[in-house]
Amino acid sequence: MNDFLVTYMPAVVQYWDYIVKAIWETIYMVSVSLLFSALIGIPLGVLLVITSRNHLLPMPALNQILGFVINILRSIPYIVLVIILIPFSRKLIGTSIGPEAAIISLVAGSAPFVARLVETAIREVNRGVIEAAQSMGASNWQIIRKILIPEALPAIVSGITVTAVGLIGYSAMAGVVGAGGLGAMAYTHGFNGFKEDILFVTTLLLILLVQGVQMIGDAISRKLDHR
Amino acid sequence: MISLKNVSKVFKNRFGSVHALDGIDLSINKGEIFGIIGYSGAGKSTLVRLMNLLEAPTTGDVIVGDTRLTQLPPGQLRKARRKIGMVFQHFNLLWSRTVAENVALPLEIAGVPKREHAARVKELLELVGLADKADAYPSQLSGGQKQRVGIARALANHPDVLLCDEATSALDPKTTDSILDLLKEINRKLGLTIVLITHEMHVIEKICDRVAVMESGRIIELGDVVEVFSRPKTTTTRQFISQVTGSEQLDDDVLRQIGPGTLLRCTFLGDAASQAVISQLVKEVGVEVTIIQGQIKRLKEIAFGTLYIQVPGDIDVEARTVAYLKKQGVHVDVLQSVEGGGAQ
Repeated sequence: MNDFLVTYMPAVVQYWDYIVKAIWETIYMVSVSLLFSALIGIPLGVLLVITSRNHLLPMPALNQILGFVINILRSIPYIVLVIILIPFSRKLIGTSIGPEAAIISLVAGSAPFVARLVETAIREVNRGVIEAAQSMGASNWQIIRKILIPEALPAIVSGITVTAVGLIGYSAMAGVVGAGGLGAMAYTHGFNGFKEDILFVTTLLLILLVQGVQMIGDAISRKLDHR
Repeated sequence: MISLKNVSKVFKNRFGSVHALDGIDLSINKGEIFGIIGYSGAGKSTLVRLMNLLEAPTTGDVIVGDTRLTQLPPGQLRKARRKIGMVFQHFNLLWSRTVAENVALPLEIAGVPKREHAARVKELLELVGLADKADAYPSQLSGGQKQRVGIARALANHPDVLLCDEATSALDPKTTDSILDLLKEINRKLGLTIVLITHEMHVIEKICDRVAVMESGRIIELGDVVEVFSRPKTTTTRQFISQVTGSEQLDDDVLRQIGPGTLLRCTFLGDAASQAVISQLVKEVGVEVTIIQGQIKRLKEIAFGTLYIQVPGDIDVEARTVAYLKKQGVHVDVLQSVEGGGAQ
């Protein structure tokens, strides 16, 4: 086994420590970005639904402004977003390079996406169930907490899974701001460094990561779904 | 228990406005089972949803118990709603919660301490006969079982009133009966006032004390079930009665095969049906009577029936027959006269 690796993947063996570090960088960037995207995106998604017409808290103006801002953020290509946000991250965290800087642009790119997915998920919640809760005397906040989110949870989890997979892809591009990770490794050492074995192994690792995330997400969503 | 005073509801959309309810005055007594029957679009669903202000009236007052709901600020309205349970046609259970958790939802909403939930839920599930399904999810239940959960949930906070919005319309006849039996039992056991809306006469006949018939946003008849249905004043009411008394129509095939002679449709209501009207007719008028088709059913304690009879003879015999039957309180339609052609 060792002989095989040394013969056919010399660079992988040589750079193995860096690859392991890159795996953790990717996992770190993706999970932290995902956490913040969910923390921002889920409330925004809920707000998009309840402020729409004929819903719990109709606020047409707010609803339209919110939708508009989300659409703008979603239409900017990620690579452009990274560059636009360089001055912003310098102000916010004191640096415009490294994983933390990447996280800022990743969150800016995926939180609006989460918001839209959550919006769709919550819109699917049966109106009759909301009405039943109102007939019991539930407040809007109780309806959000006890009806809308629990009933939409499997769909929200699916949405978060899709976002996580997307983030793995985007995090590769975040190498531009020196964020590291598997994508940067594949590009700088594998592609630019003509080390095909590194290109191969890092790509393989990204595939495994995506598959793993998708499997876990599907399993959670299935477990939550009692329809 | 519930009073609606001059209540109207106008729905506005971009095409204009629709008067869903038009000056309704209604008073529902404590402890009774009150039925509201009407075809779809009659406004009955809007009417029942006014009673917990899920739908706010455009004008008028809604009073439940001692509370004028139409005057309450939102927070107090929510509190008042806890004492008004509601059951829905499509059950509206949360599929993300088990049966027990669904029943506990109103308790959570009302802020009942968590430690009291289990005992109350158990009590309620026993009442509706689903104690063994506490940990099942709604998707594992039949329609009738789902509605039992819906009823248990509606009763969780000891309401004074139970509103049923087409509670049995999504169920098969056998299940409908079992749910109606349950509602009746709850009404007797808990002294709960029940308001139910339906388009099924059977529901009214089986459990209601009083009934209101609705059409075009108005109540067109109102009173004791027996009274309203033994002396229907409107065509709509008559049509609802025929739902349970069977079809009033004679097959076209049968009509074509009938030979000459008078063909009459006799509609019996109340006393007339229980008397020997036809044999009296034969004796007193001295005519021969052929029974073509007929059906007599009982609704509460009144008999309802439709009888198609053929009477051979001339125009004089026909006139005397019709006159005799009318005198006996039978509603007569001449479908085919000896003078050629029928009235209808």
